[in-house]
Amino acid sequence: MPVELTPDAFASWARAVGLTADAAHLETLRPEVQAMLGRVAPLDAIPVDGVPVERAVGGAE
Amino acid sequence: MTELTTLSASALARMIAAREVSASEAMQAFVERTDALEPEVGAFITRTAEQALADAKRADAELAAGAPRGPLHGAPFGVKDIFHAAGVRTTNGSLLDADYEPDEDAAAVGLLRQAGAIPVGKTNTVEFAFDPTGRNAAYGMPLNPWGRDRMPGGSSSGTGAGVAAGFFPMGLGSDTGGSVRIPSALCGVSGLKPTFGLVSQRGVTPLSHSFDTVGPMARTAEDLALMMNALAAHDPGDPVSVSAPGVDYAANLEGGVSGFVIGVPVQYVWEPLDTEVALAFETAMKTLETLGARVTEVSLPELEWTSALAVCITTAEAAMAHGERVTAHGDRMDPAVRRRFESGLFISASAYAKAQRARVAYARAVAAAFERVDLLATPTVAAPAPLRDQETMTIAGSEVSSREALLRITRIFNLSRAPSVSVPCGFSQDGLPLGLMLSGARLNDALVLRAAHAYQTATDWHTRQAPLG
Repeated sequence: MPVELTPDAFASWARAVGLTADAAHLETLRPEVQAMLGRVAPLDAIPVDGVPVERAVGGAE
Repeated sequence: MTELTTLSASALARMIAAREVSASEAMQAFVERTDALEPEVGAFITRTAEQALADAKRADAELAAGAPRGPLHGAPFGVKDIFHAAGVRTTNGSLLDADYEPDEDAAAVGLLRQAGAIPVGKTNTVEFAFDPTGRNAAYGMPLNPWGRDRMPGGSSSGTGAGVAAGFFPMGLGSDTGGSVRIPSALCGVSGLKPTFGLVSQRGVTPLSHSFDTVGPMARTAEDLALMMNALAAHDPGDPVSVSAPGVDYAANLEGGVSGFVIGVPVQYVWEPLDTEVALAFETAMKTLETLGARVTEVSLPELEWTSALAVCITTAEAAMAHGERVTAHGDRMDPAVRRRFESGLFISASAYAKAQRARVAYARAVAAAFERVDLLATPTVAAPAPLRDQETMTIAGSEVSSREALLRITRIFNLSRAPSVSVPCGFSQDGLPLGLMLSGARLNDALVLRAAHAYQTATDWHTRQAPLG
């Protein structure tokens, strides 16, 4: 699981990705992003050695 | 005369071709039914009834002159409101595009027109097609014609509800994580997600460019095949377009499933699964066995990756496609959809690249399974249609979000880019339709439709009429 996002850490991250929404909106977004990061966390354990990145991101397959 | 609005598109087109009914008379019947019931159903965002009646008159003149356009001549169709239609507003289900009028048709709309079909309006969609429930804060959630208190499913909610309600016998949807097949299953109609790239995406608002797929929705697999004959064409204007030259989907419908090997995945699909859905699926497998197919278990442990891959890639690509508009004008969007887009901004490039590499490994595993079986069979959705405002549901003792319950199974074939059809396979005790999903190897769309047609030849679930009007 990813580390827990504190309100301050999340606000900084939001600014860094270009989100300038008000604090109230960020507080509704924070748990959603936290949950989303939890759902994609299993990616770390998936073996992908047989797939060169240029085959995948370029859309060849 | 059989009530025209209950007919399949192919049956209706045959009657028009045989001069048993005029295109104008048929269109008038659909317009009158829609006039009467649309205020309750809400399948449309924009209707084009006057233009449709004029087009039907022209279709009659063409037929009288001995020049029918094709096998769908005179048959009405609905168009999901993320497809461009020349001179008709295309809202994308959003207030951000409430007044947007494109100059040209989307490729798919133009191809159906060329085949003789007539558009009757732009159908409701989830905002930017980014939700499987059918909710739309700006234009309302369409009624599920089978259950007034139930979701229609999405994101092609209006096309699903409109076919089920008898407003048009066929329509266009798009499927990024299940958005053709989910409303098809929940509304009791048939829907195909073709092989990725087989139908042009040109003129369709993107959501996730790795998965976005135009797909037909209708009452029957036969209708889907006729639509695919019109829709499947290489388009140099679409960077992911592929071609399958010489395939006649309608001509390949007959032949049945005798000798087919149908695989049933042993992992992922079943936990959790509603017991009524499981029972309907088992009965459908017995029907296919009766028709001569052999059903066997298939091990695909990679399916456990489904949710992580689909969430990462779809959310990141949605932010790529719409992030700037969402950050600038998100206050005019459905807050839940806005947050979903914004979440994609927090996915790193390295995570996205890893997910794309895993997607290829996943697709290779599913392709390898299709070397052992002709088709994979699963339920379409893990449960019958949730209540309209239901955020979470309990399935077989497990509490899951309604969104996850809807998307869980269909996503498999977006990730693998394989063709996948949903057909009605029964009803819950509450009278809600249930879907059977049959999927095949990439570019084997004709085989998938043939199996769906064989199933519909042996069953009558697809002929049931929703209790409206």
